[in-house]
Amino acid sequence: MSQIEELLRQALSETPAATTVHDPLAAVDRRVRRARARIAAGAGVGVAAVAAAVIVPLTVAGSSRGADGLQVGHSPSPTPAATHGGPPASEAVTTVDAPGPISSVAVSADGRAYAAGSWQVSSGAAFVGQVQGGKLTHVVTVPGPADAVIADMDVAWVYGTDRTGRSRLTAVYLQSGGTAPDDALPGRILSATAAADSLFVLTATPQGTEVDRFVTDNQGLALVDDHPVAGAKRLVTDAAGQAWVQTGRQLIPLLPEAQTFSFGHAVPWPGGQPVYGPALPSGVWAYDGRLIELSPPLLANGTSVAEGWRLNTNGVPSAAVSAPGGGAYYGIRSAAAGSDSGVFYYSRRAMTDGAARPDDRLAGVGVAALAVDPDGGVLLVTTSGKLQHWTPAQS
Amino acid sequence: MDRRAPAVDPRLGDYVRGQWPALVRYATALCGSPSEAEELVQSALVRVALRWPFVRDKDNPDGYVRRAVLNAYLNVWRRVRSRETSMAEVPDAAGVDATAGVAEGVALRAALQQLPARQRAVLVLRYLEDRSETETADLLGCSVGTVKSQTSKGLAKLRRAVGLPDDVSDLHDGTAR
Repeated sequence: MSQIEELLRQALSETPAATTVHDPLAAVDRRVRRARARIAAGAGVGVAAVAAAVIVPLTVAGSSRGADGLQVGHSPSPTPAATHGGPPASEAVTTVDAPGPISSVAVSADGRAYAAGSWQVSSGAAFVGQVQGGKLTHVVTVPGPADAVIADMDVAWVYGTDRTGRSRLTAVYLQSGGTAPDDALPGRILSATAAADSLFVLTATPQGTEVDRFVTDNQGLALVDDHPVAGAKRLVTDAAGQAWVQTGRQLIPLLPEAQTFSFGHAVPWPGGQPVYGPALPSGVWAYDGRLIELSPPLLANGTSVAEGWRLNTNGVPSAAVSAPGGGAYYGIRSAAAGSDSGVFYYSRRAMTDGAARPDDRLAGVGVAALAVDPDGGVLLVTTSGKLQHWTPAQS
Repeated sequence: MDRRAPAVDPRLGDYVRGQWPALVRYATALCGSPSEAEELVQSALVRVALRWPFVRDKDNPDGYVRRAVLNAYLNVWRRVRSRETSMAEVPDAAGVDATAGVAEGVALRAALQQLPARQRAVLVLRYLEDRSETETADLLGCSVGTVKSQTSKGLAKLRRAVGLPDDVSDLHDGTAR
């Protein structure tokens, strides 16, 4: 050891540990109580948002059920394909039977489709299951609610925020039927994305927004690292497997280490412009007035450089996914002014031709979520809580 | 008297009672101010208490708490960085009597506070916490190579600050073990 190292070690060992706090535990205890109270109070906005996104659709779903509890299957009237002038609404759509309203659907990189929803008969409980051959299988009950499901290799992450404003996160191993123990989080989950054998979660806490990294181990869920990110809006993982956090003005890459993560160089991207999820070959779907395939790392060189495919849409999409073979699906939630609700399918050929017209369209359906079905076609969650499968004519 | 059930898990409570001085010393070495250090430790403990369900080893949360203190320090530093007075060079401390151990320690700790936050954290983890390079890299979320280079640069700056001659043995990798 060198002289400076010895001196430094000695100086650090003599660092004063003077304390003015007589009862540090009492001080920490008070602050924890205050923090929990702020979490509960601040959850009001979150509850309202969840109510708008989840509770209202469930009410609609409930009203469409017959006395025997079976879904009647009523869909809103189709909206004419005004601007796109596409083909008539496809009839190749089926509804997947589920034990309650569905809130989310996702497909893992290894080709498993998962759907999550709320039990119709058990208030407060939620479920997640695997979608196979047009049926929901391997159904597992999880603590409710289930606002979203994130599909990863061999595991489905389910999260939701209850009426008290507390969020829950559960890891479900559908092949084994086991669930990792879930616990209340210190804040409200705003967004989540899977990357690097872990789940990144964007949480709103009394101190602000932060990104947490969770892994699963034989003891259940473990929070391995967390960092505050001011003004964070959402998380997304691109098709290359890189996770990003979107803030008011930027996309910032999350760089995972073994048990931690750090941030890479931010690139400019307005927080008000949605990003949806992976876009083949290596970007994300995003919206800037058009639906675009965006390569975030290239944004440092300018937006036009980072944009790949561009699709003109009639309204802001609620979901967008890449289709096998290089095409794309996007969904519109509601038939508001200037919008056409439904699912729109573009083949690779249509996109190459300039994407003026979709190849097919499932009209008149409010779309909450989309996922490409590994068995072909696309899975969609409607705003009325149905899980449907659609095979477009040209796919 | 508050008769409510404690908001902090009893195991964490026991840990806080036993380790409070050591945690404050650790935080003081990082941030340089005992009063700031107390706030740093309290903030970190609040975060740990709120995340208690996720702490793996609830009977020995020391590693988790110290990581929380480190993260709190680095995050606080990020927020106040723009308000800090920038000093292009570490103050020249030549003339400090090498036999005056106390003064030398004070000068060294003062020089430590002039280092960039992550460089300071590397030295505190290596020479106060006695962490290995691998552990330090893991805690800071960087590579072992970065830990080595930051150690070397930090030691070089401290050596100049207390007027010690250049020692090439510090410059190759700065390893203590």
